Order: sequence, then C-alpha cells, then structure tokens
Amino acid sequence: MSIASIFTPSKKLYVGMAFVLLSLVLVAYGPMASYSEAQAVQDATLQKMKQKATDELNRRTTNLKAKLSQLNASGSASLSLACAPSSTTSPSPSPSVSPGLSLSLSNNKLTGSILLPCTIKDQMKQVTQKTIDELTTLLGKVQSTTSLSDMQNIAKNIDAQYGLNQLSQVQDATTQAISSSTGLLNNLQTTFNDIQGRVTLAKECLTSGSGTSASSDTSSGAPVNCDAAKTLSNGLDTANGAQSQLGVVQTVIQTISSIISSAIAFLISLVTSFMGILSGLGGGSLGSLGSLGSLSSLLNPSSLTGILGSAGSVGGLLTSFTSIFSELGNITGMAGNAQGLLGNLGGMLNF
Amino acid sequence: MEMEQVDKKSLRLVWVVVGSVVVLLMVLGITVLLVVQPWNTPKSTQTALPSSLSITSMKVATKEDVQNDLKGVNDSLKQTINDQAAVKAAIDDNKQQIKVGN
Repeated sequence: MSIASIFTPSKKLYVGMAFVLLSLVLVAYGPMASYSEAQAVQDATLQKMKQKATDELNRRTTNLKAKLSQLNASGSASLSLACAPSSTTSPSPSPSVSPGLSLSLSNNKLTGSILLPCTIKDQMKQVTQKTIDELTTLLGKVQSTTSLSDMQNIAKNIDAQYGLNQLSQVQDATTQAISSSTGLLNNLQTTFNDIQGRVTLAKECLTSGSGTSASSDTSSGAPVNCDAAKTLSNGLDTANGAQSQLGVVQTVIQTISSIISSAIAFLISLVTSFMGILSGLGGGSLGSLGSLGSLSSLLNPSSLTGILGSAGSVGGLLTSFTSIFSELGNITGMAGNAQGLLGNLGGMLNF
Repeated sequence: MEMEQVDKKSLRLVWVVVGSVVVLLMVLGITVLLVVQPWNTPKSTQTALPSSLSITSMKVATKEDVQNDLKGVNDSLKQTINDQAAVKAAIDDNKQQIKVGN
C-alpha cells in the first residue's frame, strides 16, 4: 500500500479525524505535563527539607544525649565528681557558693570543699531530657509530613529553637566541666595534704625523733617509721626546701579554688536566667520548664524567635558562658603547674 | 655562861627560820608541780617544732599513697581538659548547624 492511497477520498475523513484526536491529546497533555513537573519540584523540595531536618534533629539529639550521659555518670573513684546537696527544697538553684570562696589553711592542711550544688545538675538533666523528648517528637512529625507547607512551618520551628537547644548543650557542657574541675581541685588538695604530712614527718624525725617510732599515725594506729624518714637525702635541707615549695603549691591551689567558686556562682546566676527564659515561653514560673514541653507543637514560631532573638537573652547568656569557659581554661594551666611541683615533691620525699 | 646561853638561843632561832624557809619552799614546789604537771605534757610540745607541725595530729601518707594521689590528679586533669573541649565545641556548634528553612 502506497502513501498516496491513504489520502484517497474514501479515507480522507478517517485521517482527518485522527489528526483532530491527536491535536486534542497534545492540547490536553501540555497542562498535565506542566502540573506533573511542578509537583515533582515540590516533592523534591519536600524530600530535601525532610532530609535536612532529619539530619539536624539527629545531630542535636545526639549531642544532647551525650551531654546527658556525662551528667548522669558519677565518675570513677579517682575523679570523685561529687556535688553538694541543697539545704532547701526550692525548685530553683540555691546559690550556696559565694564567688571568690577558697580553701583555707589550718595546721598546714588545706581544708574545706568547693562543690557544685546538686540542684544545678538535676535541673540541667531535666531540661536536657525534655529537650531531647521534644526534638524526638519533632523528628516524628518531620517523617510523617506529606505537605510542603506543613514542612515549611516545622522547618521554621526547628531553626527558631536552635538557640535554645544550643544553650542547653552549652550549659550541660559547662556544668560538667565545672564538676570535673571540682574533682581536680579535690585531688590536688588530697595530694597537697598527704605530701605535707610526709614533709612534717621528715622534719620532726630529723629534728627530734629517735628510734623507730617518733609518734603514731592517729588515723590508722600504725607506727610512724622515723628510721625511713631519716634516710632522706640531704636531710633537713631537703625537708625545708620541700616545705618552701609547698607554700607555692598552696597559693596555686587556693587560687584555683577561688576561680572555681566564682565560676559556680556565675553558673548559678546563668542557670537562673535560663530558667527565666523558659518560663518566658509561657505557662511556667521561674524554675519550672515553662512550655518547653510544647515546643514541638509550635507551628508558628514567631513568638519564639522574638524571645530567643532578643539581645540579652540567649545570645547574652552564650557570651557569659564563653567567659566561664575562659576562666576554666586558666584552671587547667595552673593545675598543670601544681601537678608538676607536687610530682617533684613526691619524688624528693622518696622514703 | 650567860653569853654562851644567848648564843645557843640565837643559833636555835636561826635554824628555826632556815627550817621554816626550807619547808615553805618545799610546799610551794610541790604545789607548783601538782598544778603544772609537766609529766603530762604531749611529746610534740617538748620538741623545738611549732605545734602546728606535729605529726601526731595528722595522717601520714606513704610513698605509694602519694603516687596514687598524683595518678588521681593526672586523671582528673585529663578529664577536665576533655570537658573543657566539649564546652568549646558546644559554643562553636552554630558552625555545624544545618539551616532547614533555607
């Protein structure tokens, strides 16, 4: 069959109808194709936002869970991360540490203790757990959302509460760092007192002690061996030199204790401000978690942005935490020096 | 004869006075000893050292105790440094933030 036979008069009608149908199909396909393309773009945008939201929420919860785990850990025996129980039952942190408080020297022993109030740790744990719960709820909403407009609202919420989440993380980390600093101070204090006891023993034995026992160790009842103390090389000169160096270490340790107590007092005031921000979110009194527990339901986060974005709130608190961080940096430097001196003294008193 | 009797009387009087003084001194001495009781004084105060340095009032650690103490200081210093690094990371966390809305 030749092509010319298609256009024979008897078939012209059918061919014409076929062209008309084809035209109709083409006309109808245009908008359909455009609509599908727009839908595909929306779907891709939704999927991209969902992926970003999931990654960000997972990142935040992972960080907060790590901090919570550290706060819950009691620490090994050598780290002794104790806290001071509060004398009050108030839900707000009790400022039981005054700035500048330092260990005191009594009978050549460093006495006293500087500890973080337990209420601060407890409050940080509560806030962090609540924040993790809310972020987890938010993650569930992200995964079940099929509408781009809903996802955009959730995205605004996630971005708006970042400052609050970060502040919670910084507070946890700072609380933990101060807690371990108090453990470090406690270990320095114990080492100082133990070495001081050995220096005193050496001096007493070398000055007046005789025989094998100059005195008794009152804590254990074990006799103190003066013969061993008398073998100290260069005798009294070494003991007097050690006593002099202990004076330097004592000043360093007392300075460290003063910095830590100031950091604790500062932390307490910042935590109080943080709890004020939480109660400012609505529905809570100072010291409570405010409406932290409904952040995941907040689909119009403009009010949240207003509170968290204002100067002197979250931004101001973050700056203050940076100051505490700088103070803590000084502690490690000084503690390193004290550790070196105490190590030398431990080696000198080799009896 | 009379002179001899006077001398004897004077001598007796002298002995009485001397005896009284000796007895008085002995009474005073015993009283002081009973009050002060030097035999009950702690040994540390008999030394030339100030009482604040007395080892009788404090625990004397062994060489091994001090080694353990130093290990504790080392461990807690490492822990403190790690925890401070975590504070720094938390403060700089905004550099890691993924902006979802953009």
